Amino acid sequence: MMNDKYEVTIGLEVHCEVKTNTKMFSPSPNNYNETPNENISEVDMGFPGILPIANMEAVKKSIMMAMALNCKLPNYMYFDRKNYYYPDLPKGYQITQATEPVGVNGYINVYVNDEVKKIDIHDIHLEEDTASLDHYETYSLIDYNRSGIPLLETVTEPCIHSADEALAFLDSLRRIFLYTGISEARTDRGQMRCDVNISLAPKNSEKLGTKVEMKNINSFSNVKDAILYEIKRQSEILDEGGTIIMETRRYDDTTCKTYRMREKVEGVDYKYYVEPNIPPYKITDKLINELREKLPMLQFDRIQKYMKDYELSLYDASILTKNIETALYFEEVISKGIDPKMAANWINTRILGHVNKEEISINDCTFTTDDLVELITYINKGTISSKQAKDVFYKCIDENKKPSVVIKENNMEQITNTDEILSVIKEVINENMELALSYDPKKGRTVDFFVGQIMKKTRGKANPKAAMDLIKEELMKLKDKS
Amino acid sequence: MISKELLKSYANKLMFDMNDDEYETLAKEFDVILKQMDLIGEIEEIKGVKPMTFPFELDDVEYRNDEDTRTVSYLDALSNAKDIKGREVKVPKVVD
Repeated sequence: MMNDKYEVTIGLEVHCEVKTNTKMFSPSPNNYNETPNENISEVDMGFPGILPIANMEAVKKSIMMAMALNCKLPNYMYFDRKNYYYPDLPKGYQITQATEPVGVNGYINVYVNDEVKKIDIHDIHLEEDTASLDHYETYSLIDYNRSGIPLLETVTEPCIHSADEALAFLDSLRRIFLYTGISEARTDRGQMRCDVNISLAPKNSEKLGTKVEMKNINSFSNVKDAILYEIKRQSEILDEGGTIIMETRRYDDTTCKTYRMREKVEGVDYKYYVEPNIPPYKITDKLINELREKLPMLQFDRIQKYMKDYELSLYDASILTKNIETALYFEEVISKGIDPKMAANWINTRILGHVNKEEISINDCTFTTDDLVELITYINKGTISSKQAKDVFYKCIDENKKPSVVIKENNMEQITNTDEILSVIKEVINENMELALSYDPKKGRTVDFFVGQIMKKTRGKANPKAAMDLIKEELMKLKDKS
Repeated sequence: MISKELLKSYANKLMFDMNDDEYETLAKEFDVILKQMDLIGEIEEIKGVKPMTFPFELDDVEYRNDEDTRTVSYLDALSNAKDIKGREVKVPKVVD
């Protein structure tokens, strides 16, 4: 949102759960479980005498994410203790990374509408999630299933200046998690949560305004609404000559407003120190190279490639690259010689239309890349028309058959043979000689009539373009003779 | 010097409280700790020394493979809890 009087500055802190079999420091399962306290061990509950042992898969995935965000990697993987008391933190400290995060000073490029914006990353660090609390009228209940799930926190620089930019960043970040398989990033399961820091300052002011923090916003649309609400609220206070209080606020999605939680008097002292139970792990060049090879080309780079190499529009390229499965489907089709624009058109309209309607992955779609190649080839050869191709596509899906089988079974093959069409044309002319002799090339109606008659006689199988060209030729011949 | 007021402020941040005698005792203990720190501060030529976090520099540390899972039953896990409701630990209402 553009604001005429004030410069909006936003920084985001995004927590995302890492997809692994086991938790960050314990062997209990890392999967979503609605039965409370099912996925727990003594380590997750902070019992005395426990020894946390770091999960190598989570460490590898955190390094991959740091690479995807173009961050500088440390030489060693260090963990620190962040000390604070809260009932969802049974040990009284969270194992996190403070002194040597797995990635610092990174960036990603994102599309905000149709412009490229660089978002700077302050750092990304690996830590453990807390338990979850459910609040009731007079008590709270603690479920430790979430306690100890590996969590990656990505912290941006305060370089975001609108709700649209914040949303574009969050969407890009989520797609990186999905492209790389580092996280399922499901906001509906709380796997991706966002803290928003926002301040307003008069335009061209050298100083940033007073920062207001909004914690644990659990959907992207709520992030947008919370930002828009805060911009409005803070603008009104500043317009009236008031001052913004440094505070933490909570966004309520039923009223679409933010409410004050607590005033932030000073920075909380978490007494960070290096976690003595987990020895540092050397990040070798061998490991870095091994992980770099696993990184797929990400959405932003794919969009750029599709626009440059295949001359697709930003819109088409963005849809094709929304998930890696669709991008790979597209790339497989064009690797078999199909025109990229034609492939993009078919995938973005028919195939994704079907996939989205059925709520399935394109990988589970019965219409394979080979089927699409076959279908487009039939169109290109003139065996079937584009209109017929749509019918073939839906029949293939409904009856789980190959395009060639559907075309044959339904006798849909177009007549492209000139002699065959000519014999029908002669028949039609003989039956309508008077009209044929009155043919005027300036008037299209006669041709339309004859094409209609040809299609009728061939039960729609004559190639319409061939039929039109041939009837014009024959009518002209007749006219010249007479 | 670690004053009683400073200790109270930290206790408040850490969300606990003590009685006056306990603050007195703690303040006296900190006097001793600070004197020990001053003693260390008197050692010369330690400015460039990297703080030691681990006694040995290990380059062959292995972390855990992400394979076998193991859990504790909720009955065992919650057996020491003061109060439980259903399968969860019940605590006084926490609103932050």
